[in-house]
Amino acid sequence: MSANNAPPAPATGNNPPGCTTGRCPGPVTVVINLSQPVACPGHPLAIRAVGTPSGGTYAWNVTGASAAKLVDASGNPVNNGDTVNLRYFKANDADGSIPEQTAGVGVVYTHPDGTASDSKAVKIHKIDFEVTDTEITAGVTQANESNVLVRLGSDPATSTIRVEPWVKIKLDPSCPRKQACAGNHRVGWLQTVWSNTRMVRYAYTLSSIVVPTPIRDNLPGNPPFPFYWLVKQFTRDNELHTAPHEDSPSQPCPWTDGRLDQQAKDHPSWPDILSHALKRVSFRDEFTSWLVVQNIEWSGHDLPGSFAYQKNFDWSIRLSVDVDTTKPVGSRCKPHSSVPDIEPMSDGKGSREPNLAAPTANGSQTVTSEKAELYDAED
Amino acid sequence: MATTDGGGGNQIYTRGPESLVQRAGTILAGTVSSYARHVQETSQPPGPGAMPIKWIVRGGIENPRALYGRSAGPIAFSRTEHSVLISAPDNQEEWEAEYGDLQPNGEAVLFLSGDPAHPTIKALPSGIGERDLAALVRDIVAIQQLDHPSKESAWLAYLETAPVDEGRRAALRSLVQLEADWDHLGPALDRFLANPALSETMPAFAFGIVVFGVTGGRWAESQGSVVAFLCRHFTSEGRPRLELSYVQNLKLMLRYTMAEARRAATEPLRRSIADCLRRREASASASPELAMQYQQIRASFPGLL
Repeated sequence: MSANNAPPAPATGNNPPGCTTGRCPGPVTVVINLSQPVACPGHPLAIRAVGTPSGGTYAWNVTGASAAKLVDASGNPVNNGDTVNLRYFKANDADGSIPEQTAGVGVVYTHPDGTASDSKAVKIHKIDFEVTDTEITAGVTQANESNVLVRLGSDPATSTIRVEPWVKIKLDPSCPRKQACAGNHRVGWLQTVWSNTRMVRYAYTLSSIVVPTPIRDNLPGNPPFPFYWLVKQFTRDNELHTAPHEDSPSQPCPWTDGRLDQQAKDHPSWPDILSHALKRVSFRDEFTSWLVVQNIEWSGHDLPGSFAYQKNFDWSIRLSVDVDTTKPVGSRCKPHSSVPDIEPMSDGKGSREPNLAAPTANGSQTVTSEKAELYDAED
Repeated sequence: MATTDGGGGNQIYTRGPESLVQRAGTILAGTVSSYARHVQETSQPPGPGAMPIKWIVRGGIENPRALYGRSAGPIAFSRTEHSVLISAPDNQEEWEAEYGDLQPNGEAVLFLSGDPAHPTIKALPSGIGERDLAALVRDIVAIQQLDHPSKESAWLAYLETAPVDEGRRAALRSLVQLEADWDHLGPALDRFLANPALSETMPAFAFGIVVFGVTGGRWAESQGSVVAFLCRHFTSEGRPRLELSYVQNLKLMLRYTMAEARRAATEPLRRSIADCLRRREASASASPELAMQYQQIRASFPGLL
């Protein structure tokens, strides 16, 4: 602590030395008190200054950790009042750790009798995450034929891609509130679709299923925003969670042309059923998947900055089949299957930014459909 | 992106018409009357050549017949339908797509649940042959009303007598759910898979649901016999598509045996699976997809093959 009082006045009577008037000021002082000795990443640390004598004003500042902010109880930026909250969260995008930081918090107390200042170095402890079992299991994309449609997608038994890593949270020993700090983090996956090609050719119609890319991806069932699927919240230090991730991109196509079916219903003179036949399906999707730990409190005001990116990998599927509906169901599509392209899993965030907007690929599909010349396999 | 199973589960092994029957308080069937379709979204560009993408069908059944529970006269319903080209809504199960869309004067099956005075009605189309949902529901209702031991026997019998694939799948799902004794199910499956008239999708389904059962904790006392069954059918399978499907399932079995808690106890199972995989490895090299599955097995389970 340091005091920066007004120049001393001449002393008179019982007044301090230098005080010459009837009312002499006492020394003006200020002391910063931390509510916890160490701050947790992403969790506001209440900091109170006590100025003496009372009745003065406080001016706060923070230095050091660049993302550190002083906020009020509602999370709004603040630099006055006797109490502020220090908050900070910044993960290392290269390896997913949350490194230790030190923020310098200072206050200047201004009183009619003078000013005083204090400052404290506040440690924001680190958190590490241990990720194991990151091997990705690849299935296939294949033509699953049934009586009414063919579904290009995974084998019914196994996903096209699946990985089930284990993630352990390791708090710094100095963390003063381990259970709450661990509970402020949850693990899950993000996924972005970079490109999408789904073209369905019937004898006289070309249809495309269009998705605006890049776009966020998720599984049905309303997983927590913006996650892809399951999310698991830590409850204590050194807790281990599995973080399963799987996807089986799928495109069903009826054997007959919906556009001509509609015309045939309205105008019975339209071509016969063979003219409605499915001829070819082209299906290609590209993705990046990120294994992330999210700081829950930080996500409330800075969603993109709330993630500690543990791992990432790019992958894609591609299958184009020629269809002969004169053959029995089960042998109409050639080739039958393909394997996904899966890049090795990398540490951290990688070079791409996940799409964190609300729309999702499955909820943003539109279909374009246009009349086409009679399909010729040689074209 | 859109998954075949709604994500994270093997829905095809857990849900089918039989689960809808089980939840329903009343099931009615009959001919759709007063059919009216209101198209909500079409393909782009709009116009006379566009195709409907989402629509609502309203209709009724004048003289419904009860497949389960009691009919109380004419009944009205609505159903949201969509082109199968787009992702299905969350409340639609994958198997439902096989029954297509409601047609004017076509057949429908209505599943009523909730408050009998104001029931929730799920309407599904019914047709002929593989799409005869009404007949399938009638068969399922008859079996589900039996007591447990008779129910298992009835499902085992239905596995071999069901006239449609969805009935065979319902039987297999129900038997796994009932935790049918492997001593009964194993021989029934051997007979089932020996049927040359079986469609190619059924052996893959049967093989897959057995693996699903084992990895879900079924037949703990008979796992050796179950793995012998799987290996026997894998090594004798000559159809490349089925071989690929079987290998992917065996990979799941290997992963199951590698879980820390059961790694030691399942060592003999792992050896058996490795042995049968080895025996087919030479022929696998002819197919890039199969070859990749073997590569993955080698990478995931070093030293196994």
